[in-house]
Amino acid sequence: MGLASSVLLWGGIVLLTGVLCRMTWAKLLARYPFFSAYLALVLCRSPLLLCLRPVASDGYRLGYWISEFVCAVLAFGVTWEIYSQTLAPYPGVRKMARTLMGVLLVAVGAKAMVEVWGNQLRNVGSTVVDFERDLRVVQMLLLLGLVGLVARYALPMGKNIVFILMGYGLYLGFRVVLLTVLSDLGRVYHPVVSLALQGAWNLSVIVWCVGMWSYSDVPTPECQIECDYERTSEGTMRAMGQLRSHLVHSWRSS
Amino acid sequence: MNLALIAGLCAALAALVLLVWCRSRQEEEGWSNEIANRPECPVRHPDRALLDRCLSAQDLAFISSFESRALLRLFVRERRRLAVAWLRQTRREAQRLLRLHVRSVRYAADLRPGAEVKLFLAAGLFLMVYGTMLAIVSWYGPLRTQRFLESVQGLAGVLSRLGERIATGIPSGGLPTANAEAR
Repeated sequence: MGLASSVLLWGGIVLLTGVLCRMTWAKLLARYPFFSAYLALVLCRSPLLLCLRPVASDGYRLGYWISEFVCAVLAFGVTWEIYSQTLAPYPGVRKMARTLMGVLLVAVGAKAMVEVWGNQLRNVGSTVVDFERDLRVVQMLLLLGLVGLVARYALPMGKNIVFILMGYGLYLGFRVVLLTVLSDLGRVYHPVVSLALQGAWNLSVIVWCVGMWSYSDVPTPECQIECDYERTSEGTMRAMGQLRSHLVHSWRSS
Repeated sequence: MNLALIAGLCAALAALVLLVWCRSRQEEEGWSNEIANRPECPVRHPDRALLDRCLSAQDLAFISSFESRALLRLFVRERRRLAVAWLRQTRREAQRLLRLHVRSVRYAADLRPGAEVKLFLAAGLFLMVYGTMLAIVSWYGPLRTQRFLESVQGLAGVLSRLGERIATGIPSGGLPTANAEAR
């Protein structure tokens, strides 16, 4: 277990350094500032935590949870970056996304408030795990909402953004599932869970390594068709109604 | 939070990312031509003549005159396939309309979330009706479906007329209140 953990940890650090070097070479750091900052923070965090070892010490735990929290907050920046880069040419869909995300945030915020209010301070360890998991679930819901809009409106995405989304979605998924397992076990640390998490992280870094190898612009169609939204929307509603009526009334004998 | 719920969320995210990946590879040129030439009422109804022929009572009478159960079964099966094909054509037309809509409005700055949700619900209602029709046709065949729909529509007409008669029978002053009766 110790060897596997070390191999995964150092492998992750090497891969992360590789991604950052490649992004610097391809001049991607300035184009994706939140994502770059997130990766840089994760890279700095690993040696810092190594200095705070052993794992069971209070210093390590404190450092671990503070860095986790900062990373989770910065990860919101990554979600924001995916959102802003993808929806930049689409003001209407951006408005739609804002509405959707507002509804999501209010719903999740209300749930979190109710849960935190009733929690006792002595359960602070498991509360941190639950809080982080809830934070990640919010991110996942935001990404789901965004990806749902992208799929619905068939918005084209650049290769870089697609790979950031794929890698981050993969890691987020693993992280949320493993945090839920930890929460169910009533523990804040488990060696197998930690190993699985490191493996998932390394997999995500490999995805980013492939995606961030070179810059790829967000594809925008050459001609952006002007459209009267009111008229188009009414036309489609009317057409859907006609089609539904045709579907039912065509069965009458003529 | 439930592990199954979270696993479901992860699966949904993965499926959506895959969908986005597939869609980003699709052709855009064909759609821009269609959007540019979009008529005022863009719906193309599937041909009703096909369904009328499929439900033809004369054909049924002709096949029944042979008094062969196997032939009748074959006839009903073929007509069911035709009716299902007609239904699917209608669904494809609805999908085309929705795709045309999203490709037309995605650049619109005045896009209204409320209107989009209404359209989404209209599409959901259409799919529900379509699914019900498909299930009935697949289960009972097109000829029985026609009779069933006609009887349902007849019943709805009777109920509607009854409602109208009740409404006209109520005096314009409204129903007497308890206080008025006491006096």
